[in-house]
Amino acid sequence: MLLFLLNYAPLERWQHTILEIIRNEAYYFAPQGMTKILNEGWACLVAGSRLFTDRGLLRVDEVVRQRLQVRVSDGNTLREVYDWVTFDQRETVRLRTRRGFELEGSATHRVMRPDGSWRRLDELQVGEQVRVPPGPDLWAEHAVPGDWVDWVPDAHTTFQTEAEAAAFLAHRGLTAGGSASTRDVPEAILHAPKPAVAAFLRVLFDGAGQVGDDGVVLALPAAAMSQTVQLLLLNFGILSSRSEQTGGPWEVRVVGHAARVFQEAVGFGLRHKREALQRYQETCTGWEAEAWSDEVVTVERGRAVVYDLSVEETHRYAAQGLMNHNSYWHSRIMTQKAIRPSEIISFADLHSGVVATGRGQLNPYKLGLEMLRDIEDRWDKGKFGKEYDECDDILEKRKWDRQLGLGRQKLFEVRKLYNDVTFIDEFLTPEFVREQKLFAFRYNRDTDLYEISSREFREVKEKLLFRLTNFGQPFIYVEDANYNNRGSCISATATRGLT
Amino acid sequence: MDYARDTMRNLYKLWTRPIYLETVIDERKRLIYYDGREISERRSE
Repeated sequence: MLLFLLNYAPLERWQHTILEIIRNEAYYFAPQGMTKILNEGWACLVAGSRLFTDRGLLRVDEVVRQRLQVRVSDGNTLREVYDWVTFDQRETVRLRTRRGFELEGSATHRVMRPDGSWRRLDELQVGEQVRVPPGPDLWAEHAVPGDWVDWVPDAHTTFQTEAEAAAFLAHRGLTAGGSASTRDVPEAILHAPKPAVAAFLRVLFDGAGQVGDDGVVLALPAAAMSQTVQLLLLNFGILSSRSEQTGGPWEVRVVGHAARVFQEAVGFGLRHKREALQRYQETCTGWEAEAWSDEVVTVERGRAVVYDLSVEETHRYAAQGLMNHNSYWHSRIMTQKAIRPSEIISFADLHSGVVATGRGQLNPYKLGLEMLRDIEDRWDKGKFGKEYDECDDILEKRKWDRQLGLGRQKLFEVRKLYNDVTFIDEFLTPEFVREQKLFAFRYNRDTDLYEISSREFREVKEKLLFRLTNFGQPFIYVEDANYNNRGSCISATATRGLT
Repeated sequence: MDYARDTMRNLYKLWTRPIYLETVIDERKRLIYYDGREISERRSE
């Protein structure tokens, strides 16, 4: 609307100027909240999704609601969670893998593929491979005995027979034949330290597990319970697969190399089962360790409340047996500081409007965003410094990647130290100008057309800087307050650009 | 030149005395003079 007025209304020059200022300012403030949004999409999981944390295997909704400052596994190391967000009624995708891992998250949630790249849930196809984090080995650290003591046989109890172990489990409703009042592993066990969890699993396998020619098989009363046991095993670095048997019980199966890991990390308490496992081990010598990846077998759509967290540095976390990517910047800035979830659409609309490139015009917001992305990319890859500057080989420069990962740190530094002019002066590179197809133009009086006058880096940069200095207006300085000796005269010089 | 005229008027208003402005128009150096009544322009090299 302002643009229409600017173009067609019979305005005085000063009125025109004011409208132009208002229009520019409006465009300037709208994107303030998101100058650094690097468009990752919303990344969230549904309630009940289990995260590997330093306080145990926690539910994501529990972590988000209580804003627990836990540390999670990013696949390599521990990372602090620093932000928590809940979204109502989002479109979700639920996937299941061949091994039986299940994950439901928002359509834009991303999971890691075996090669380390990310894939949105709504783009995942049946048959695709996804990464399974290799044994996060992350447990509750507090060794204070908690509720979990009820679920674990104490140090003085040793079972001699399977029946005794089964009775122990049945008493607590944990076996397939039991009352099945317990549909899941007791919450207390999930908050227990590593030795307690191992003891719990040991008695579970003693009472409900079998060793045969096809590995270690555990029969459990409920799907949820088998799923949690599978995640607990994974935490020990034991890969298992999970399937429903005809007639009800769920089986968790550990075979080959994973059976050896099981033997070392958990093992059986009963002697005859220990020996059977030993024999099984001997039959499968030469078995290679299985790959830490899994195949997607089903993909379903749904709607649910979803929970999101932000993880420091690497922005990913292990949950539900898969690697997940969190969302940042936008989740933090736009949802907590600036807007409500209901405004997301208009935000996205506005955002694309602001950074759209108009015909024949330079959009400073687009330019800024692209330059920030460029900086992040350059500092992530180490494309700076003497060595890079002195490299003459264009191909080598393009492929330059030192894997420094300094991008985000640099962005913060840039934001702190630079203003528009010094920013462009410092970070506008010949490569960037070439890539973004920037050029300088001028009016040609002979042809009555605006023509590209230069694609030269130096001239483009000069024009850009002039535009940003003093709002593109020339400076006028008093040079001589008594010019020509006529009392109070002024001689002024108008120069364009920087001084 | 229209723009220069407006600029000269503004400068005159601020300075309240006759103005000489040295600038570049169409890549040629110019000296513009304004004393509150009329505007004149000449080449200055």
